[in-house]
Amino acid sequence: MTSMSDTENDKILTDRKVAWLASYPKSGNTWTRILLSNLLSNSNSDEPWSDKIDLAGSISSSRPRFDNITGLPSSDLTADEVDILRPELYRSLARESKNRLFIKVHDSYHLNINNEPIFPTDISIGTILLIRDPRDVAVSYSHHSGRKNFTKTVKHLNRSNHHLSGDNRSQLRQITGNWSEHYTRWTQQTDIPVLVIRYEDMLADTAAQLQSMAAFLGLEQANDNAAIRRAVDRARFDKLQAKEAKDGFMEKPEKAKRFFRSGRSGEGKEVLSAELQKSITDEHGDIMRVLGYDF
Amino acid sequence: MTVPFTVSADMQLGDRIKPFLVSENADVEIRAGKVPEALPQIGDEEIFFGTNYQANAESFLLQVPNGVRFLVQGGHSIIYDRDAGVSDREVALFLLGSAWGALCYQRDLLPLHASGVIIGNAVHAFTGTSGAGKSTLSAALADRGFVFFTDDILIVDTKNQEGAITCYSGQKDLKLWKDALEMTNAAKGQAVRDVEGFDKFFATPVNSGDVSVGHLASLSILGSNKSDANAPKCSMTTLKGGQSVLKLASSVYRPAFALGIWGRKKLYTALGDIIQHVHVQNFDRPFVPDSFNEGLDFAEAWLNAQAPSKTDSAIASDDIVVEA
Repeated sequence: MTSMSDTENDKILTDRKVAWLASYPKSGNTWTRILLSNLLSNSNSDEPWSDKIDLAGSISSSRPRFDNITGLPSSDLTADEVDILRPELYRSLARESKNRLFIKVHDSYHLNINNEPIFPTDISIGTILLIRDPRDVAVSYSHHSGRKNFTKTVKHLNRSNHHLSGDNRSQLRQITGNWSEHYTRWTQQTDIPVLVIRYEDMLADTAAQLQSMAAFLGLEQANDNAAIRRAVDRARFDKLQAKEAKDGFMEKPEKAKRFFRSGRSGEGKEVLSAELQKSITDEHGDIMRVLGYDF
Repeated sequence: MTVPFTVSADMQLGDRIKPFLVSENADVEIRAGKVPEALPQIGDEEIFFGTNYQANAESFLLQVPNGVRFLVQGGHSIIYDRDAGVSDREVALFLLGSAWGALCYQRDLLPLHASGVIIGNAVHAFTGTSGAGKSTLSAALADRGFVFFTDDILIVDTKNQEGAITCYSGQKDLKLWKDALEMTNAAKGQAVRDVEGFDKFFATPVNSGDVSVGHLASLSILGSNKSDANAPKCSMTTLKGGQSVLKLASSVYRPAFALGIWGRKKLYTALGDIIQHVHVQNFDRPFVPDSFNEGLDFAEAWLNAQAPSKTDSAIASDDIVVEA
């Protein structure tokens, strides 16, 4: 006979369907989604994806999805009003889904004006927080945005309470905070378990990092070394670039020349002026030291 | 019949649904009143619970985070309620949007999320996800001489077919962002919200027609070719059968309400009826504002090629492409 506590426990496990894939932009989120998608599908295909990245959950800031599920046009609402409905939106997604959801997030962890967390604890498995050296983020994010110089991007990385979009037509506002705030807001909250993964460690040993993520999320593939090797091989950077050159990539912004551009680490130190590097390390030095980024 | 139902209201609703408004004997009454927190559970009647709305066969309850609540009942009334200090404008915006959509479903009319123009008796509508550019393209086509028909909502009567699908304009005024006003030469009205700095405005299109009924000739689903550098800049691709039903399902106005009020079977039956009589196509074009005119030129040329004699029935066209 099942005891009451077992039933409650089962319900909690059943309700907790959402893995948040959180990152400041251009920190390996898409690569991670491709890796997880490949791991879950365990396909023998050599291509990194077929039509699109096949991972249930999409991005937390999708405006069309918000509009469809709430029945309200987000473009007629203020960003604060949208944030009031976001927790219930994600609960609705979790309720309607039979499977685990992997939802991409650029927001930092924050509350709405009703003091409710945007990302509800009651549906959360955990958060994989992807981190990348902010100097490399500055370079990658500038190319992604079609910007010719890096000053504006560095300003965004440094600006307290920075947010993305909001007045954009396809994405909801995402309060990222500055680069350090993004990290601290996710790691200082205690409601949702967080696994921190550095992009640089993914480059150095992709399989080990994917294995950590899988174990953290409780995926049965966590101990399947062959499946992990296959998933990593399918998502090699040269394969991502080749696939994008051949078929395009739907997540590429129209202004960017390509989505999978360089992928390597250390570019920030080579390309950014000494002044911009100093501006980043002045602002984020404390957290960079914690994360092992030397300067 | 120029409108599918008539409306009376105890508040000023502007020109947005002007063809529907009458002073007496209206089919639908819009009035202030008490809106409950939740729909009452009557017997074992099923209630559909959404994020911020509830629906059963007879009633629909909607809460908007600007402090406005609506109760839409039996296809014959919309009751609104509001927090202290919330203006008529704030009420009307969502009343003539989401609550209006729920009313259509209750009256067995299918609202599509579409804007469009009319040529003769033939309505050519543009649909797509939020932000796809439906309003801007339709308003810009009106600026090129086509008669503007509807913005945001196209009301389709799938029962009244007679060889073609009858459709009605859901809203005569546009809602446009500031930059889109400049791209379309539409006349700027007041901001859609009371909130300071809200950059979206009501607007009257150039060549705004009085016509509010027509036959639905085509539905173009707006997309972007941005992901694929090798793709042509502008292209139209005819959709057929199940493929077009699936695409149209994402073009329904407030799809969650359709499921809550109608259910899946009724919705897909209605969509199946539409594709019997309407040309459905993907219309992909560049999405950056700098390239807006390329898509506009393409749409204009395509519409000009649709002779009125051809437009009352499904259009027989091969796929059309402009190479990059």
